[in-house]
Order: sequence, then C-alpha cells, then structure tokens
Amino acid sequence: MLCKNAEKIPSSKVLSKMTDLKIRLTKNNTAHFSLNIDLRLPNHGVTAIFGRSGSGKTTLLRCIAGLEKSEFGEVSLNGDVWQNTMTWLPPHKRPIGYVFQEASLFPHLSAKENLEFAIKRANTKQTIIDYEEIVTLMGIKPLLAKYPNQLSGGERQRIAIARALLIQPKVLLMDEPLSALDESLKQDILPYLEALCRRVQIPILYISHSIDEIIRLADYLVILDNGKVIDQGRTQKILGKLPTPLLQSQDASVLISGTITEKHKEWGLSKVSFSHHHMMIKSSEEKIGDTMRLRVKSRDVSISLSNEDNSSILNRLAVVIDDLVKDDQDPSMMMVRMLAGDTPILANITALSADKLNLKKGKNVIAQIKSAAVLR
Amino acid sequence: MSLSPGDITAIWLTLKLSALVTCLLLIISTPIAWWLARTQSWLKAPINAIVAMPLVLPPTVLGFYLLIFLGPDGTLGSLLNELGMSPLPFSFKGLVVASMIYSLPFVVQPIQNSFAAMGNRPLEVAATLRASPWNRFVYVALPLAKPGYLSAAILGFAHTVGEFGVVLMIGGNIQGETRVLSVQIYDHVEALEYGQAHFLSLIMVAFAFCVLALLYALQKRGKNTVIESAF
Amino acid sequence: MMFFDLRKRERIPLYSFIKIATISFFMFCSGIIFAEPLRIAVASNFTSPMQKLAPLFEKETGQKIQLSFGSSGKFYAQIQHGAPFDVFLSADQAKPNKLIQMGLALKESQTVYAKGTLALWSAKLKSVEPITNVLKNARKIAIANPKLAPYGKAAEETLKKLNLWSPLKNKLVQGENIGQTYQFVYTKNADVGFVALSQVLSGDIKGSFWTVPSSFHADIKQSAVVIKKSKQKKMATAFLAFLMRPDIQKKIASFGYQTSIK
Repeated sequence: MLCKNAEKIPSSKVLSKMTDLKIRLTKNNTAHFSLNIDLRLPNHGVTAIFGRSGSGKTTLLRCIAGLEKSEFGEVSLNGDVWQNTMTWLPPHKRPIGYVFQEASLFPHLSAKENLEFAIKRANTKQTIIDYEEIVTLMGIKPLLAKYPNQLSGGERQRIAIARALLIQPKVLLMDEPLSALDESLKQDILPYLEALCRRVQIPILYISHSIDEIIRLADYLVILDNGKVIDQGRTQKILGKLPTPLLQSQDASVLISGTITEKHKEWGLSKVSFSHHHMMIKSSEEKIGDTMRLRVKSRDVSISLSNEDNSSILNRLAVVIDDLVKDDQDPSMMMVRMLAGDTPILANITALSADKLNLKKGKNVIAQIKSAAVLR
Repeated sequence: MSLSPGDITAIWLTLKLSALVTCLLLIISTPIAWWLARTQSWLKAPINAIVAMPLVLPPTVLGFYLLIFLGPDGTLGSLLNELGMSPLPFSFKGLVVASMIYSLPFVVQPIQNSFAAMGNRPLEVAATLRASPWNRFVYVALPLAKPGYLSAAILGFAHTVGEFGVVLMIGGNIQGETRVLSVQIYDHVEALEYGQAHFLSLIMVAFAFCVLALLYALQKRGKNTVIESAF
Repeated sequence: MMFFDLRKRERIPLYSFIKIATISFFMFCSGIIFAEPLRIAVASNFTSPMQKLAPLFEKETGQKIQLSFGSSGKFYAQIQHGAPFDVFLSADQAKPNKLIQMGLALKESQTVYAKGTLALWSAKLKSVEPITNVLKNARKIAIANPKLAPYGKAAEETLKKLNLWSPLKNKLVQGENIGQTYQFVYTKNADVGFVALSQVLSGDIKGSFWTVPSSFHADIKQSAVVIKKSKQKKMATAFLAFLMRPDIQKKIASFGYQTSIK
C-alpha cells in the first residue's frame, strides 16, 4: 500500500486554528452500529464524505445538523461551539443549510413560497448569495409558480438546494442529493451543482457513494466505513492511491485537474495542461483559462515503453511508475500507479503485459490515454 | 306539514350546540392529537384508549356517569359548586361539556392521523430552515394537517347533531336550553305524533347525507384525503 | 383383518354421532315448537313487581315467560308494526284503547291491573313537607314528560291543583319517562321530583317522600291487553286473570300501587 498514513488536511499550515469545522462524535445507534468520528475539515470548498450504505454517513451529517443527538460530541465551526458537554444548539439555531436525500419541499407551498420560507427566516448577518443569483444559477426561474407535485425529481432537488442556500448558512450539508434521481437526471443537475460549488464561499459537506460525483465536485474526501474515518485528504491524492477494497466496487479512476490552454476548433479538441503535462480532450463549452476536472478510468489507460508517434492515441504522458499491485479479485490483472509530476494516474493492465514490459517501481514509461475516454 | 315553533327552537339550539362544541373540540384536540401522533411514551396506548372510549361506550353509560359526576355529590359537581359555579346538568353548558366528551374521538382521530401521516421529515426540513418548534408547528404541521382538520370539523359537527343518548340523560328536556333536535324527534315519536317525527327525521336524514357526500367529495378532490385521515 | 377392524371401529362412533345429532336436532325443533314462551311487554314502572310475579306464574302453570321492559309508547309503536308480543302491560289506558280501536288487541281482554301512586320524593332532604315550601325552595324539580308519561301528566295535574304549575314551570326538568325522572332525583341533580311510589319503595329508601293523595290528579290507570296476533291467547288471558287474583293484587299493592283490594 502506498501512502500508508492518510494525508491529513494541513490544518495548522493552511488553515488557522479558528477557521475549520471540528467534529468529534461518539454515538451508539444500535448494537450493530456505532459512530466514532474525529474530524477537522477545511472551512472552504467541497468535502465529500464517501462510504457504502450503512457506513454512518447520514448519521454523521444529521448529528452535525443537530437532527440527531450523539452521546458524546463536540461540533464547532470557526470556534463557534454548536455542541459540547455544556452546550447543545437545536437544529434551528445552527447556521446550516441542509439538502435531504429525497425531495423535501413543503407540498403545501409553491416553489417560490418554499424559497420564501427560507428568505423569511434567513440569517441577515451575512449574505452568501441573493435570490436573483441563485434562481439564475440553478435555472429555476420557469419553475417558481409550480407546486412540488408538478415538478420532476431533479427540478424539486434544484429548488431544495436553492432553498437551503437562501437561509444564508455558514456551512451547507448535502445528503446524497442526487441519489433519488435516475442517471440522466443526475447528468442534468450536476452542472448546476458544479456551478454552485464554485460560486459559494462556504464549506460544503457532500455525502455520496458515487465516484463520479466526487470527481466532479469534491476538493477533499473523507472515507467512512463502519462509523469510522478510514482515510481523508485531497480528492486527487486519495483517488490516486491504489484502490482500497471500498473503492474497488466502482471503476478505479483518478482525478486530473488542469487548465484549458488551447482550443482547436477544426478538430473539436481542447488542450488541458497540468503540472508540465498536456492532454487533449473533446471540446465543449469551456473557454481558455477555465479549470477542468477530468476523470480517467484505470482501464482506459495503457502503458508503453517508448514514446512512439505511430499510435492513434493522442495523449501520451511521460510518467514514473510509483507502485504496482496484483488485483485481488482477478489474478490476470494488475493495477499500476504512476506519477505525472505530482498527479497520480492509475492503469489497469494484464499481469502478462506487466511482466513482458518488465514494469517496476521507478521505471520511466509512457501512459497512453484515449481522448475519447476522458470524462469530465 | 310545517315546523312548529318548538321544532325551530330545537333546530336552532342543535346548530348552536354543534358549532360551539366543534370549535372548542378543534382547539383542545390539537395538543392531544399532536402528542398522540408523535409520542413514544408508554402512556400513548392508554390515552388513545381513553380518547376512543366514547366510540364504543353506549351513550347511556356516558350520560349516566356524567349525571353522577356532575351532580352535587359527584367529584366534578361538588368542585364546581365550591367554586361558586352553577351546576352543569340540565343546562346548555352541561350539554356542551357532555357533547365534547362524546364527540372527542371524532375530532382527535382525524387530526392525529394527519399529524402521523406527515411524518417527521417536513418538520426536520423546517428545523434546518431555522424555524423554531412553534414556527414549525404553525407554518408546516398545521397547513399539512388541513385535510385532517376539515374532516374532524365535519365529523365532530355531524356527530354532535346526531347525539341523543347523552343529551337525554343529562339534559332534562328544557325547551330552548337542552331540548335538541334528536330529543324533539324522540318526544314526537313517544307522543305518537308520527307526522311531525317524520318531518324532522327527514331533515336529519338529508343532513347526514349532505355531510357524508361533502366528505367524500372532498376526498376525491384532495390528494391528502379527508376520509383517509378520518378513518 | 386388521384393516377391516380399523375401519369398523371408525364407523361405529361416526354412526352413533349421526344418530345423536339427529335426535338432538328433533328435540331442539320440538323445543322451539312446544315450549314457546309467553311474551309480555311491560311498562318500565312495573318492572320490579313483574320480576317477582312472573316466576310465580311460571311455577304454577309451567309456562315460560319472556319479559320485555320499556316505555309504553315504544311498545305501542312496535305492536303496531307487528312485534310478536302476547300481552301488553301499559302504563296508561290510552294506548291499549288505541290498539283495541285499531283492531290489534282484544277488547274483552282489557284489564286495569293496577293504579299508579304518585310520590314527591327527595334524595337529599330530610323531609319534603310542607310540600309547598319545599317545592318553592327547590332549584330543580324533576317530573316525567307530561306529554308522554302518565305519571308526568299526574304530576302536572298535581302542581296545577296546588296552583304551583305556572310559578314553578321554569324549574321543571323532564325525564323522558318515569325511570329517568327517578335518576334525576336519585343522583340529586334535581332537589325533588314526582316519581312513582313503587319506585321509591323498590330501591333503598333514600331521603324522604310524600305520597300524593289520589284526589290531586286523575287516576293513573294502568291497563293490560292481549294482542290479537298472539298464538297463545288462552295462556295470555290466563295470565291477566292471574294478575287480578286477590292474592296477586295484594302483592302488587305492596309494591306501591293501588289495586282492587286496597
């Protein structure tokens, strides 16, 4: 295993002591399940909490919101104590926004009235986003007059997200907001979420069990299993590790974060640059200078020993092999971890190829990635 | 056949009694229904049973006990007497108290059902939107329980109109004070004035039909059905 | 052999079961046909005398009696609609008369089996005399509905006789029948009330009472008739004769009624 010690979010360096979300919780729900959490999370960006169902993600979020009580707990944001042995703030006194898993709009109110419910009760001391802006950002203007039962699942969830923000919270808690939606609706709503995450300046805790959502949204990643934190750190770092059993359930992927540096209209391709490396991806709306987050699945990456120009594959990155391990489940396959600068890339290749190419740690190789296989 | 002045007085008295009882019951049933819908306490079953008791007890049992408890030797009667209040039997006030007990389950249960049906989620959502417990109750729970309140009001009113046994037992048949429509009909029947009895009975039948038709019409319209929350 | 035996053993109990069942079925049917009880509708005020007298009649004749108690008005309506009573003991004379007029009861059977005695009763006062003062000081006075109950009508006549009807009218609370009137007084919700003497005597005597002289009101003649539809007219007539026998009349008097004996 690489990086045996999880990389801690550098709380002392990057964040001053008073600007973080501190969570320490112990809760025994049933005989089979207990939550034991000690976390310090950054007070900006999106922190994804990942884990399989039953790992305690939702319970953790509900405890932070004050919807559930834990036997022992300390929760504070930037030094404001919400809960410790002396204090217990009820949920309506905590500066949070909460987006529930399923649509949770008040059925007796129209979409607009649902938003007004939040505006009337909003925290007036700070404004993180105003009504006009969130309505535009979430694309919900045409929906405002409708009632929840006239809206699709995705539309309801967009309204619910806007409502959670209009309360002007200091932290936004989202409990798998897309899980109740089917795949195409998810793809519809993800761009809104991306825009939102870029726009608001408050920390967002985002529960998910989808690698796809995490790659697109999360800056930090906390992996939860059986009520305990088993790993945490920058998303890129955590995903670039050789897959843990938890992540293996889904396609092992890495996250590449880069900037658009060129657009080739005639080929319909854009150039993404990151730590002295470049990749060509299919163009879409992005402009030069935009930041892109790309997902590269390990099975879409192949390895070559020489940088030959006779291949159809455009993206050939000079990388160094960092580690390789056999696949537990499939002895014919091997997972290879490579570094392009400090960006990890994973390749899933046959053990036979690895043997033929004599791959080992420290060897310089070329990672080949099809442009068409890059997801954003 | 036309209505005698006595009949008209009885009809008016019945409407007055039913309206007053319904209003008072909607108020006192709200906290009871709220508590019953949400508590995990072991007291839930016995309290539920007490509320539902008038459903199964014969009205004569209720009337008989009320006559005893409200009488000068009764617990409540002697208490009221010491407080300098006039005795309740043979008075309109007494009918109001008796009818409230008698119609209580018809009002509590629909409201309780709609509180239970909405679940905890809307209230949690409201809590995360900085709504205090009272605020949550007024702006979320009450509007969501509207169908329940509607059927509670209709059933409470109708049931009080149809009340007979209890009124008979503690009313004392005083015109304009305790002689309600059902007692008036009974008197007509007993006095062998069948024509008058038919006429008033037909009014009651028409009333009962209209109430139930209204209830079912509301059920068809609303998504949160009125009938469902009633039964 | 073994099989045969088993089957035979099985057959015997089944056979005897059928036999027993058949016999009991016939016995059951014959029971219905031959032991039909005499059905008597009794005005509520006569409940307790009737409960004592019916077993005496049963013992003497071997005829079963089935008693129904209720208001005379209700029985009247039920008989009109074909209720299967053999005898009707009314609290008044008017209803039997009407049934005879309608051809639903036998005219020759009509019998005044008792005359009711009215009593002014209080469960809380030590004495109800002088009655005028007591009535004037009472907060609530219970009477039976004069429109419906003969005792109510007698109470009204009594109050009129005492010139108290108009002044006391708004203190009156009405029971639908004499039984309810008794409850009002018994529970002390009414200070005093006009009830049947028979009621006062049948319970544990609480408080005090005053027997209203029969001259204060018209007789409360309680009359009985045999119903025309009855299939047991002979037995029904025999029962009415039994009620009029001097020894039985004496017993009725002891319950607080006036009878042909007294």
